Amino acid sequence: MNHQKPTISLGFTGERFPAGVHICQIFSDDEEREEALLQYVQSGLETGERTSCFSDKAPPAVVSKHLACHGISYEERCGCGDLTMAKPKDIYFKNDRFDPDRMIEVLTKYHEDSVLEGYPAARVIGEMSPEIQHIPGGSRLLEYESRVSLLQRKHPVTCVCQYDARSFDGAMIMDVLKVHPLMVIRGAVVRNPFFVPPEAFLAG
Amino acid sequence: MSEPDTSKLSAHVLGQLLLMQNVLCNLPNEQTIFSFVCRGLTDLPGVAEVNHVATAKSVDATVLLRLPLHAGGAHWGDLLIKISDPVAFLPYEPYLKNFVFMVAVILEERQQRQLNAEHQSQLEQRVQERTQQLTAEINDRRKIEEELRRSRNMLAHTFDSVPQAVFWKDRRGVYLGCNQVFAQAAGFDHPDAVVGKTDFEMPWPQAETEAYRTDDRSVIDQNQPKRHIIEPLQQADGTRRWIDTTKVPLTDESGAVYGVLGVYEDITDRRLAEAERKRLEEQLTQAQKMESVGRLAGGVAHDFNNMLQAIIGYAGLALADEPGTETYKESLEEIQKAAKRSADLTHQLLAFARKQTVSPKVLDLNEAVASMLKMLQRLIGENIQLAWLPGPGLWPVWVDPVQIDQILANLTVNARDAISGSGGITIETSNQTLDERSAPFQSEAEPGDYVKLTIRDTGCGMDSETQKHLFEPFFTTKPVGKGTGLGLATVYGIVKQNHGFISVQSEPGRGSTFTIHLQRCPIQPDMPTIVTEESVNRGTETVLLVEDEELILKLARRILEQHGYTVLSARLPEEALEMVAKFQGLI
Repeated sequence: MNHQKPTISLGFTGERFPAGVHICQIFSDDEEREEALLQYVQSGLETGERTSCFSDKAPPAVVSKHLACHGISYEERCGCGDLTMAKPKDIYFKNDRFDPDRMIEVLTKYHEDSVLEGYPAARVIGEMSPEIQHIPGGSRLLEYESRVSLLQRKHPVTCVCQYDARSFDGAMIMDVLKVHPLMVIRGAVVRNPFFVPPEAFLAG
Repeated sequence: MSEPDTSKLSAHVLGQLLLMQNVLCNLPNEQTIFSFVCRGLTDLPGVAEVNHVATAKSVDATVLLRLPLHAGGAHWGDLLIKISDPVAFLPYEPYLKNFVFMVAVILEERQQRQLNAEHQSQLEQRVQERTQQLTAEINDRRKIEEELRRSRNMLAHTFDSVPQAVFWKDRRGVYLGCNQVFAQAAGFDHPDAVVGKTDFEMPWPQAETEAYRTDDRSVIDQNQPKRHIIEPLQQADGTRRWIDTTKVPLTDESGAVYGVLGVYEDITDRRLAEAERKRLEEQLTQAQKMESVGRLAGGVAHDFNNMLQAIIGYAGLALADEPGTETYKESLEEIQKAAKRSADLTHQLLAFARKQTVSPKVLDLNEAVASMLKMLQRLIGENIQLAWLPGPGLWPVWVDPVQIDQILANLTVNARDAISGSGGITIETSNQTLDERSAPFQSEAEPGDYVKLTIRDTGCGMDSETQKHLFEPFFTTKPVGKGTGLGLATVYGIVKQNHGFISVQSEPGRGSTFTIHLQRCPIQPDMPTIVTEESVNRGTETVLLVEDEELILKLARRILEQHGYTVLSARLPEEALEMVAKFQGLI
């Protein structure tokens, strides 16, 4: 019996990865960010994965237009639950606070439901709002990111976390690297040597 | 420090350095880069703390390594590295130094990129500004060209609208332009066809072309306009016209003359009309004279009849007397006196009525007025008193005596008509010198010596409105059929012709005074003067006398023979010619 996880396409790179990878993209160019986002969503829908997008910078019209170019109906996919578009504020900052426990539950349920509903896999792409640095619970961001890596071992929901380098301090960006095993550099996904395994990170 | 042991190097750590180097390129600014690097380098083995300082004057004693961020002559401060485990750190030191240098290179490239971007932005901004400027200039130029085109069209339209012909030439006489009127007169459809041509290519005759060019040269050489050149013009259709041309020099901004601008008006019709008007005026003047003569004749007839009565009476007495007696001689003398008075009357009448050209002479105005007094008295009638106040030592004037007669007759008749019932007319002469102070009060006067002739009446006078139009031809206040309206216009014309001036002072109910100033004439030997004394000549030559009136012929023959002449008399020209042919001597 082959227990190897099936591989998936991330869209923005030709390399295939097993489902349930945790990747960060540090960007300072909006085109680069948008291109990665649209290709990630497109590839997920093309392979039948349940796909969610939490971004302030992905207007439905832009996503819809991109998907239409590849024969995908934005309205249909949103209607049947294949695609979920939401504002980061409504997902990450419910009740005006950031709660990693709640977020882990949301992701867990998202993956469980997806499996139950017959999706071969589930993926999420979200841009972390710089607001995180100023709201209650925001200091637990790295804890949350590290726990996502832990979660993925049981619930292999593929996550791409986008961080705008223009909105975060350099030290914070370095810290973000430490909780993501993979990262996107110039369109390529690379292993992150700064990554600290969640057990070690959370123990520290 | 000893040589690092590369066998202890961790690929993981080197990968971190490499990854940081790659991530740096995505970071937005220097501050983020320094913060990122400092945080990342603390993961290096043996490193306790990393800080970035822009300018560190003194280094903390605990800092073991100070790495400058320096590349391409630019400096971004230093990285101050606290080493906690020198042994663990030592293998990575050269890699760290390389990394720091690469950071500096990335910073330099970034700075260069930013400078390039700024330069590019500035360049694009300048290009945009210059493009806008050029666009504005082009638009302005187009506007100016449009304005220029409109001005040219308007100028051309204006030139074409004026009824006069307009043309302009350069110094060599080459036409630079003209209006439609000129072009058509020269036989061209459009003014453009004239440009570049000279007068020799126009339909003008050779002599007239030379005259035009002489005027052009005069205007250009003297930089002075020539106005109202009355000259002939031959049009393209061969018709001959009279034109009134004015030429002015064309000058550039520096005042240098580069050509001549000419405007001419076809005055052929006006000249014909003027000639016709002059002819009609002469006819009217003559008619007015004849009217005066008619009135005069009525007055003269009575006196003339009296004279004839005297002549007939004394002739009867003489015939009845013995020749040679005292009474016989007295009768003949009375006959001669009455005949002379009759002759005087006749001469005055002829002089007044005669249509003759102006023949100015050196004249004593007092004598001229005095000789007219009897006739004037007859013109004004017995109810009006005529006073004559001759000025002493009156200066001579240069004027046709007949014109003086006309002035006196017209002004006196007007004065008579202004007087209802009885009144008086005064004629006065005097000398007057007008200087700079007094001359301006006489609007047309120039300083100098003048002889003043004043005709004053006690008539009804005139209001100011009447005085305004007084000298206009055909203006009259007299009933229809009573005046021609040319009397005072004639007087005005005569005075102006003789370089004098006339003025009038009048108020309703207070009479009128006409004052005429005539320039004093400096007498010169060759000027004709009126011979006032008859010279009696005697001779022995043979005279041929031809007269159709038998009585005059007989009388003249007797007078000439009494003065010693041999007389051949004939009544007809043929008879006279026959006598000349037969006569052997000198006639």
